[in-house]
Amino acid sequence: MTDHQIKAPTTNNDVDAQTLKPSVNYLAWSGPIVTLVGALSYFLYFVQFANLRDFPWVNLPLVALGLFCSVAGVWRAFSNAGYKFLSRALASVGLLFSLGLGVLFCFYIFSLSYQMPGVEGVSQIADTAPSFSLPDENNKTVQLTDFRGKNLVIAFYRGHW
Amino acid sequence: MKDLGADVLAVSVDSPEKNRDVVEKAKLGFPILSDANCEMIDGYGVRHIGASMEGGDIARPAVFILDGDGTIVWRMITDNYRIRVRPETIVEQLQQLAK
Repeated sequence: MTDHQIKAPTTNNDVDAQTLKPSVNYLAWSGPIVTLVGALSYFLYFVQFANLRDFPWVNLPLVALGLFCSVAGVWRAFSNAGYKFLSRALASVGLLFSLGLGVLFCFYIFSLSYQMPGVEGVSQIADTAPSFSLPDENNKTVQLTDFRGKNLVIAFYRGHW
Repeated sequence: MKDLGADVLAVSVDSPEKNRDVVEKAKLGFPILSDANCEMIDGYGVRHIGASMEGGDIARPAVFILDGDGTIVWRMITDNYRIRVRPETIVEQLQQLAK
């Protein structure tokens, strides 16, 4: 019988189950990530789908989910004594990030995109269409008079980001 | 829309080179005009001040239908720039015109 393999406990924590280091705080980590994915994917992908662009049926719930995870992660970090200062601080920062991003996203969706100029200055029905002379994508000049005798659809758009 | 006897034009502040990319990628069957100084945009009253990503001016989304005499017969401007005109709406309007 040998006893040189017996390891003595290094601290009392090994024995006290309540303060055993808990697993990674997945909630606190996934919160900001889900919020970020929710917000970014709106601009990078979902805007292509008219119904999802007009109201963010996919992205708003995603952002809300991310925020929920962050809140749950912070609650877990602070209610479980196994999480030390760094874990708690990180969870809190994650929550702040999710909150900030969530607020920005909602601001954009519900407020910013409604801030359009008034329509008083816009050309009206029955007006004579203002003339123009501009280069097309091949640098060839196109003018209003080119279209005399034909119906014309003019679509103004914002251009690219 | 060509079948309904109408021509189509798009206008934005982007450069002709940028517009060529868009025409090729989207295989648009119509030209895009480059209005970098907002001349035409101002002509039609659709300038949106400070709305580009860099804070410059761009066009607000708007569609106008002109008849053969150059009179505006229909227009659509949105109060929310994310909500755009649907092509079907324009086709309907053109069909009305053709009657």
